[in-house]
Amino acid sequence: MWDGMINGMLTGISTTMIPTNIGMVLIGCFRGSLIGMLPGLGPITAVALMIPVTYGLEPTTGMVLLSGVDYGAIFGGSTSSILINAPGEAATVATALDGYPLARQGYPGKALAIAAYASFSGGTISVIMLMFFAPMLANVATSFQSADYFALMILGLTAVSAFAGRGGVLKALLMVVLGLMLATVGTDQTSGVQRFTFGSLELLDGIEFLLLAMATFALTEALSIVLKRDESSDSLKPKMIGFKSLKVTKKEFKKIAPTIGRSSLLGFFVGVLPGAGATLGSFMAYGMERNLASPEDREKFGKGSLLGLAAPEAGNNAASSGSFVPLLCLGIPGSGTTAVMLGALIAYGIEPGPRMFIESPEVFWGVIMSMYLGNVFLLILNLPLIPYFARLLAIPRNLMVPMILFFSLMGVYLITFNDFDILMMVFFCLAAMALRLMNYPMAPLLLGFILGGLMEDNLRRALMIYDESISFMWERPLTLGINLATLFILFFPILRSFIASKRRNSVRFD
Amino acid sequence: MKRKWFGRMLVLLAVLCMALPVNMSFAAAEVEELHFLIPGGAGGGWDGTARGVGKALLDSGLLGQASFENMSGGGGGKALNHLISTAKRQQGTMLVNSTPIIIRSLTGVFPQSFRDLTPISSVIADYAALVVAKDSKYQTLDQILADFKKDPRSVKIAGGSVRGSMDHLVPAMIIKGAGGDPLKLVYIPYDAGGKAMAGLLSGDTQVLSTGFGEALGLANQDMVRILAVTSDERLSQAPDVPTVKESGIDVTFANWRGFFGAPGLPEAKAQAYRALLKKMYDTPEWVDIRNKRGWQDLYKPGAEFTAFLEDQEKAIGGMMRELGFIQ
Amino acid sequence: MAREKVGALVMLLFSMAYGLLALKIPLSFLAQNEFFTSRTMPYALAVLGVLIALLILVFPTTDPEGKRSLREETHGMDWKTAILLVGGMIVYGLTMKWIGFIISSILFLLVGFYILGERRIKRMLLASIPWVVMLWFIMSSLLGVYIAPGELFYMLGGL
Repeated sequence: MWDGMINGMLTGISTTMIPTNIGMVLIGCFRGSLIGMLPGLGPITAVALMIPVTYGLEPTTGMVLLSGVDYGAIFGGSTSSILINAPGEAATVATALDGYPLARQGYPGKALAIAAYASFSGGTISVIMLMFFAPMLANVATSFQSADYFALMILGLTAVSAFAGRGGVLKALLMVVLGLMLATVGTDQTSGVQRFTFGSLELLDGIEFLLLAMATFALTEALSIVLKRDESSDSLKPKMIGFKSLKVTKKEFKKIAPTIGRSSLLGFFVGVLPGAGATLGSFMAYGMERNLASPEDREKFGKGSLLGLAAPEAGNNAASSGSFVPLLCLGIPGSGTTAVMLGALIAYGIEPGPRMFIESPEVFWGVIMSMYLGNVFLLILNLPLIPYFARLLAIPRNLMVPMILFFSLMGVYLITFNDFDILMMVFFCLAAMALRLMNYPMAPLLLGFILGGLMEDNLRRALMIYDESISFMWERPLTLGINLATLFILFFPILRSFIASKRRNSVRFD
Repeated sequence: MKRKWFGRMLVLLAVLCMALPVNMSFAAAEVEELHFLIPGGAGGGWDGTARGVGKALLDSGLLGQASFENMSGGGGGKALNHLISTAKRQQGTMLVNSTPIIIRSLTGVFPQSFRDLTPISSVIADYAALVVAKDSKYQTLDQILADFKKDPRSVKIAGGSVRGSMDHLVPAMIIKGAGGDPLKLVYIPYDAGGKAMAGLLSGDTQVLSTGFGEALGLANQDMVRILAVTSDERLSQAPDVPTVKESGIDVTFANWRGFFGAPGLPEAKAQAYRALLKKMYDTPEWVDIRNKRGWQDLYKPGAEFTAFLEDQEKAIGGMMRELGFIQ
Repeated sequence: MAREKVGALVMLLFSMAYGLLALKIPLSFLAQNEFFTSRTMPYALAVLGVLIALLILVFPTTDPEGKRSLREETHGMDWKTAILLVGGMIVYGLTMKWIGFIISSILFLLVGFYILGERRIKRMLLASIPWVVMLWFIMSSLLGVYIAPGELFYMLGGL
């Protein structure tokens, strides 16, 4: 086994290290990260639009280019999330939770730098995992059944406590419920009937996650700057401390390192599952880190915490590499992006699956090795650009606000080309503004929205499969395991305070 | 100083990277210009068909220029509306569509149907297939049907779309053809073909109803077995797979993909487009794309296309009525 | 009234309306003897929404931020500018189809700048036209995405 792997890696290195392929990694990463930086345009669009270019290339070269565009877009997606609170794509919505506050506090350079380091580490760690464990992980991907996905979504919901501020658990829960409600709009994925569409064709396909995120985050934020007459030095311009500085101290590095490690692992595993995805990966990483953080650190979450920024960034990049496991080892696309890439692979006459190691090792290992190289390139290419991006924040407020509105609206419109979407965004923006004025948090709403559809569909599937009995919740070992983890997370804070008080007592008696 | 220089070089590099050309051909062409209207987003099945056909036409020099417009929304209804309401200026436009247009107009998702458009031609077909995991106890379609007749709940069939979609209707038709009660079929819907396939591999479900093209790759990798295909005759890519007809069940089903023009498109233009597509089939560029994607040619121009659609509408409508999806 | 309670009241009404609408979800013929139908989840959510909203209304508000009344919170806010901007976005959404991406976007940006008090024409033009044209160029020429021109031009063109 190890022999084969080493041979494979050598094949990979020798196919990747030819100038054309190195060039393709470079072009792919750069194009991907530039497209990713435009609000809204994410990896699916970026990859789909690159397909025509790859037709004329060698299979390995083409796949190297496409995968470069894919993780490049995820890498670049954090930029607009951090700078203007307008998520570059769905997987970087969670990045805005702490990245944007950090930028507003005067550290846009630092926030972008941490995002870049976390992305790089998440990408690299997951490539290493991919290299050593890809075939084994393929088994993980095919061991999750509908019942397990349902349990996983419930586990994901426990992240809600991560978004609850002081005394705000009920408020956060209410917003989760609202998110779940919004997720039921559109065609019911099980029975095919229309729910809450009011007979309109526009609502038939449901509400787009990105649309909701843009409206509740970016538009609302821009409007609230206007409403509050927030003229801190007449602009969005953060206080000038360390404006363009990328400096992250050694101490800070040490602090975020374990977070990045854990988030990368979690994100990678979530990415491997064909029914989950990078967006879920980033939210779950964020939730986990907040639950694990010390009470002082936890206070900072949502207010510019370095941990809260590093976690989703490492998580989403790791998840996007993780989604290559079902694609390359099983030939199953787990996400929209990998579905497009599967089409490209098949167009090259390569059939991904267990035999791909043997039949086209150069493509398999070439793609994996190029991802390693690509992550290094992305870091080297992006770090020097950060000061230029950070400077965007120096644009005066009266020019900046309309531009944020414009880019947010376009981020959605330029994907769907549906002018109704613009009106829908304005509607959600107004509703979110009202909730915000009443001190309700928006992040749990998005969490509920992402999990909502998946949770209902998987529950209903599991019920049908088990002839309408919920015995699967404890009969399947995997489901049971996930459920126990959920219970543990729910009671962990109580347990911890219990242990802490015990320890305090014992100290007293010493 | 050095740093600034590096930054500028990067900006330059960025511009160069973005400018990677999308090639165009300039040979004398059969049709000067075509606009493809795609009712779904980039990367979907409709998108792949339109861009694949467009590419074959461009590369073979049959077509001078092509543009592709993605317009998603309303299960394809948005693009349909658009084409009809702006028909006058859409003479150079072809709308790509497939079997779901029939299903969605039957259920009234959108009020229009294929009759409101000018049928150009169908281009390709993907047949439906019943698939099991490689270690499944089922070896033939008959075994599944026998089990179903004994206890309908013991055979649950999964598919990559909602109830009442193609993936559901095809096994229902097969069961009805075999004399079973399609109302008793437990159909497990997934929200994408890939996820349904993952469900089959994880043991979530035992039988999967999907497109032949989608299952072929995994069947070649020995991960799944295709038990039956809904074509008229056995397919060249998988000569060992029997048709449903061979089991004595008179069911054939083709998920066609084809093109429509705007309503009121002058006959001369419609004929020119049909001729263009006909010529495409013989080009090596098309053969290459078709083989790589596992598509089957299905050329039914004009009136033939309409008749085919009406037949399919009847078959699907009958099944949907029986299952209670339409009154 | 504390603003959090106002929010709970709004959500209470919303959940009730949602629950009532859920009664109208059509059930397919096949779902008649199922126990988890298309309505089950919406019902459960409506009940949950009502319950949580009631709990928030009943329990005392702990967050000092949330205790302030809406009037206190919104005191001195710049409503005029915000409403004008929202109006601008709506008009933008409505004109997009008619005058096309480029013109409507440039107009939206110019009007937005004007609403926020910018009066230097040169600056306004520099901050709008290059961005819009660049985005259009990236999308249509480099990525090959088709952006439809405005309907109005077809009408003027007499087609």
